[in-house]
Amino acid sequence: MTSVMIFLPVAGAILLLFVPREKTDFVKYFALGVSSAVFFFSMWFFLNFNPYYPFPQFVERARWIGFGLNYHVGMDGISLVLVVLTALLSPLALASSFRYIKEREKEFYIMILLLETGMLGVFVAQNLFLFYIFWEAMLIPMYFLIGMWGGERRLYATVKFVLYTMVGSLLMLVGIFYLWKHSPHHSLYFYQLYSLSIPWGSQILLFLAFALAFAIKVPLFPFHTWLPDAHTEAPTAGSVLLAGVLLKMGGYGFLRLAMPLFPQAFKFFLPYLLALAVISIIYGAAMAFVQEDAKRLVAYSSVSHLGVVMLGIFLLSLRSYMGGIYQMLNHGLSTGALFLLIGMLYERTHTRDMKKLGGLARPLPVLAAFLMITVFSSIGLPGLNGFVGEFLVFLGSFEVNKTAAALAALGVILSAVYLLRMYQRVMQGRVKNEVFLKLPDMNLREVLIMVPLVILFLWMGLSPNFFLKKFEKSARLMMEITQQKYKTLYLFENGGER
Amino acid sequence: MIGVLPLAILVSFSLSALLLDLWAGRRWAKFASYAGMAAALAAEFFMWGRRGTYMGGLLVQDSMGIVAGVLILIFALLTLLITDGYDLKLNIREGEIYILLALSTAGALVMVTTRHLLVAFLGMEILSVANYALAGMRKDELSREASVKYAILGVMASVFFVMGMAFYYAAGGSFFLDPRVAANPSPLALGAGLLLLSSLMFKVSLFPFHFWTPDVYQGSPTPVTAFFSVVTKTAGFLMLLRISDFVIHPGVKWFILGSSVLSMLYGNLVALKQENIKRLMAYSSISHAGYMAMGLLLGKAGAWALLFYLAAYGFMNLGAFAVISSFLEKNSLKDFQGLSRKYPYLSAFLAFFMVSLAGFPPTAGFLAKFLLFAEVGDAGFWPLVVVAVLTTLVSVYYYLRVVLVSYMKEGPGIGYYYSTGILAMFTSTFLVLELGIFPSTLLVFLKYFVG
Repeated sequence: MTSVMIFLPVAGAILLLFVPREKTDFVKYFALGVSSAVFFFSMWFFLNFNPYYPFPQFVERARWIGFGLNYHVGMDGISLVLVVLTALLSPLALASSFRYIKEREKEFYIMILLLETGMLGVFVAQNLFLFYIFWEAMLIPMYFLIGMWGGERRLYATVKFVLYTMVGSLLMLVGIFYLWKHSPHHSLYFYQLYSLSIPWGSQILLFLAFALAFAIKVPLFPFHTWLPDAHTEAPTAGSVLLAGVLLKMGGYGFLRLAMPLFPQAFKFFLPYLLALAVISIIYGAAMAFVQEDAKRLVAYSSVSHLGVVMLGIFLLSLRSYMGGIYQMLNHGLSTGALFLLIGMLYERTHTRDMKKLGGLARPLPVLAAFLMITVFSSIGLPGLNGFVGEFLVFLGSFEVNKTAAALAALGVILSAVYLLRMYQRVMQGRVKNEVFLKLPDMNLREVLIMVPLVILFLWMGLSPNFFLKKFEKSARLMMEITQQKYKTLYLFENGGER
Repeated sequence: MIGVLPLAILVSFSLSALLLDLWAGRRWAKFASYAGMAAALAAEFFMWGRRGTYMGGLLVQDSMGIVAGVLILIFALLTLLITDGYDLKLNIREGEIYILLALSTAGALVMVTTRHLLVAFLGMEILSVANYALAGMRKDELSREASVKYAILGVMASVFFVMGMAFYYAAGGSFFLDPRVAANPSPLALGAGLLLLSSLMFKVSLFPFHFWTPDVYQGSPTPVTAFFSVVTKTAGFLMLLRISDFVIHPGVKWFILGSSVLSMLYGNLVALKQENIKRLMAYSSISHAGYMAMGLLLGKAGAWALLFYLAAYGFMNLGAFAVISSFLEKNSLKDFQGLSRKYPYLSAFLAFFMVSLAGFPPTAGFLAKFLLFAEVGDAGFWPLVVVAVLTTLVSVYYYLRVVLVSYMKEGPGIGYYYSTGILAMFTSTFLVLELGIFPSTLLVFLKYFVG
């Protein structure tokens, strides 16, 4: 079942190859159908998941290339919620592109479907080799998405995106070679690698290689410069998936690989990582504050929010760790929603420059209402999802590191400032351009895209336990592995990988 | 005598093609070349998993040689598919191009089925002389220049080889590649190793001996360029593997290592600036030679990874050249602007092969790099692997630039002609995906019989 879910989008993409390009309506609805089917699959997994078993479930494995390079997929709680996030955002992103993408539509939908397989694969892979394959393979569809359907500076943005990501991931590849050659039976199964004891010097180098790959993806402060360009230039669907899912892979990589594989090195670098996370929070917020382009503002806000996520994960108290994971989901939903709304605005006004916008709440009351809720979710208004995540992170961090928690809290206040200011400049005040008064409000399709997200904002805000308990056991296990509480871990999980 | 069969079949078919061309015309020469290669391929497959020595030890069939022989014959068949039709478009009316391709392939086969230096030299010369003529097939200024340049420099390389042979004989008293010579490292053996390696490095365009590559690649007809970049390289690397396996002198090792690093750096960095796709492919070929040269450092232990790399590189490179040659001699990157709108499927092929050359999964290019680099790292050359990986990063830029130009820039698009090259594209795509996703068959064979 797991494999069916992952490869369903690829199968859809291959079928789409044979559809004549003139039949755009068929292409659109077929792609939407495929990715909705993936969503229903993920729902099935979500409902049938046993929250009391911390190890991967729905495991499927097969001998593949041999020499330890095996096919092995499965989902523990952390993977599960991220898979559901991916499966939810993909159809929404597809649906949002129905009018936005006007040319070479067939290629566009094929690329989104390929991207979806890559994203799902990264979260379900249980073998480092498989993980790397999905991690890299995903770059190519994204390269095309930004480069072919992006804004004015798309070529610059897409090349920058690919090269930045590759710098990190190629060094990680060298690390994978090392692990492959030093692991017993050449196994690259995660839980077998966790019990590997790696000498100090190698551990430092390996951690640096892995951490660089993930820090670029998150992105943490000095490695973030690709993000504003990529986000701003990408088409709406690209931005949604980039912010909603791709950035999560950085955080996921840290908590699944970089930290538990090299715990001593992680402990050594912890102060520096914390500093980077805190700088990201404050720097991202400050940069967001001075942006004139609404999309760029949201891009910088991602840097800031992901800083909170990473702070929570790095500090390794159960509350902050789970808060960090919860905050990943929140950020995926609310930033995804922000990009969707800005995309809808752009389709109408053809500008994202906030100096030219203003007073749009009058012609677009529904859109304004949705933007308001989304902004509240993003700044963490109690009762909405963002509050729960941030609260957990700060509660947990305060137990461990008061300075970092205090500094990071500053960033959260700033986020209220710049996001509310954005809302104000776009929706309130004087209408700058008479033409804008006649803009049509959201249509049914757009409302249907937003409704599930808003429902989730409320649901995740009001009854967080429903979601938290799904990944609590797995999160605790991953955290304790990172804290080196177990010696030969893979024995717990019967079988391992031969 | 069964081990001589592939070689005997190919040589007799190519010689009869020579006569058929005179008496019956181009069509029959072409047919004889196809038939000869296909029959030799069948015979070579028959040898799969067997081994033996023939003709008093002059010819050797071992697993390494058989794999290389199969690869060479498949590469050559695909080259024929690309050539078919291309020659008429460029007014190459004679059947010689097919005969020369078959003869050159026979030379390559000789090179991979021997451990005797004199026989190897014979094979190398058959290959080279045919190649010099092939480079000049287009009969215009550039092509003639390519031919002359290749011939003059190639003869220099041959002289190196002969000199190396002489040294080797002086050191060991035999032309057979013999571990005893390596075990007793004398200055003579070192000199022999360096000279022999230099000569072969010329053939596979490794760093200090690479300078002919861009001009010859650009000047030769595109299918011939494809042939140079895969068949010559495969044969050359197999000889290099055999020689470096026997002459493991520390000095030789440093020589290979330096050449490998410099090829990776030089090839990838200079490729960044290229505006002509054939020149770009030439520098890419230099850089890939650099990656493969890392495999030589491991001797026989790394042979399987190197052979897998050769297979992957050959198919993706041939595929890329099949696409490039369908635009005849329009090779400037500017001509590729707007390609994806005019020929969406053709540019998808091009993009696929570029992505594979850049080493993205799930293509063969990725797995080949993965296996080779991991093996090199495991032997303790970690800094070398880091260089390889970082230069791969550089290569991503220029390979993706080809994709960028054809997909993300607007232009009129160039003319394209339909030919059997399409078949080569499909076959290469299939094999690149097969080797990237389900490589077990080949890999298990390589690992257990060669490694």
